Amino acid sequence: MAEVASDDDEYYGEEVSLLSLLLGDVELRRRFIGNSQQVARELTDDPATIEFLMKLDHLQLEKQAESLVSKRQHEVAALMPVTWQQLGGTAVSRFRNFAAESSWPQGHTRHISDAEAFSSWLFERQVRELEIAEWNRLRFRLTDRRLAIRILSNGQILPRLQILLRQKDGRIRDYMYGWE
Amino acid sequence: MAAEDVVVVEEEVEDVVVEVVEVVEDVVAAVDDDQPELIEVPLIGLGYRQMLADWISTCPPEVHCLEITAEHFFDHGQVRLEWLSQNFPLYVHGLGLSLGTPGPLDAKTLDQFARVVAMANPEWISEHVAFTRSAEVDLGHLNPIAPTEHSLQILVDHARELMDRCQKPLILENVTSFLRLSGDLSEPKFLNRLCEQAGCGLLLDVTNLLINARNHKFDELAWLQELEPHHIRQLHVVGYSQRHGVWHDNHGAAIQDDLFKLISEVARITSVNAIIVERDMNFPPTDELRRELTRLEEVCAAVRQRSGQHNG
Repeated sequence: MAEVASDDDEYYGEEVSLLSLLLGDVELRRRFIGNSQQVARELTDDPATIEFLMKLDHLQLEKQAESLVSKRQHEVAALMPVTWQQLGGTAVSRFRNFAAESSWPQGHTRHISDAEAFSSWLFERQVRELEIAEWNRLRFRLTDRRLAIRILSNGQILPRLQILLRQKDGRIRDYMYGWE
Repeated sequence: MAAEDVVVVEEEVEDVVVEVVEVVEDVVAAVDDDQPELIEVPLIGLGYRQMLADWISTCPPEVHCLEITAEHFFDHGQVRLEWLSQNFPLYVHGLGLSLGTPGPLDAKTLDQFARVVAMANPEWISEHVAFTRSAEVDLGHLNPIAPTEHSLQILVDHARELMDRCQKPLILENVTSFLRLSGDLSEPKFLNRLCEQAGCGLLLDVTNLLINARNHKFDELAWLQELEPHHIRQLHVVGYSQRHGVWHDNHGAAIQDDLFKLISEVARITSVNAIIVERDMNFPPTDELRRELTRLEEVCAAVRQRSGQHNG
């Protein structure tokens, strides 16, 4: 049986919502740290929620937000290791720029979706370090397909063939064929 | 069967009988001392990860049980899950139900979680004392909850709903966070109330406890003393990392000595059912993992032995 939400529940709900906004939105967080009182009043007119926001430790808030982006970055780096390595010293800054522009995908495949979106972002910017075969694998993982065949031209005269196969246990096999 | 085989079998039976007699003697000694609670050595196991799949397929004797992450099996892996459930005691661990978010649980995530639980038939299920999203924003990872009466009620309602849906016992895990939110209760008291009111147990992550204690400068043993020990059913542990005076739970290091010591403290105050090593990256050679699991078992056995001597 669904319980009727009390006013207190609504205030608590607002606390979680506003904390999420502060953790997820770099610009809002910067403004809040710069002038907490004003931003808190812009966000809510509930005195209890304002009090909750005013008690937040700015350094802790920043560290928590940073840890969320770091975890996101770590997962993406693990899912596209070749591209990440090829990006070298620019990998982190490129990812941070991408993360600042995009919201985190929802659902249990969020890390794969995030890595796929980062790959698309790199592709749109014609970043040559993007490993297309890795991007193909990410796109395949987001489908239910059993088999996918991709042609990788990469500017070469003889293209390579990538075959992606999903096994019954869910594991993915990635075969690459080339012509010498 | 050859004569020498019969001799071997007889020797094995004799060994088993000796072990059984020793256990019975322990029980009798405990009862004689009005100490009916026998401290047992927990099952030791691993968080199941794809990188470990081939090794786990060999059923290594050091791995007594496995914890699977529900989200890893939402889309695929039914065959593997079936094999795992036939060969190991399993526990299903959730990451994305966001029990601390006000409002109803996400119906789709709950359906997927319940489907994995039905396939795995675990001994219990677990989630976190945390929120990962609000109605507007999905933060993707765990965030702390203010220990207030309001948040307690939301967690209690969601914990009950999850247990009703999955028809399995539930244990909830303490999280690590750089952000400490003030509230009406201390964290251990909040966890005590949560377990009592929801009828669930506690999954104590000793690494999270130690990291929080170091980063927020409190005494982890005093924290433990505030906790009702009988709520603790399972432990999580993995090595931490440290950079510039800040401790991190990156799930990629060997278990340090101070964590073994903390596990020993927990084992001294209560008997947990299982300890799971939560390694997510930098996987060492399997021999190292074996040694780590064996050491965990030895630490718990040593506590049991000391406790037995003390009681005796």
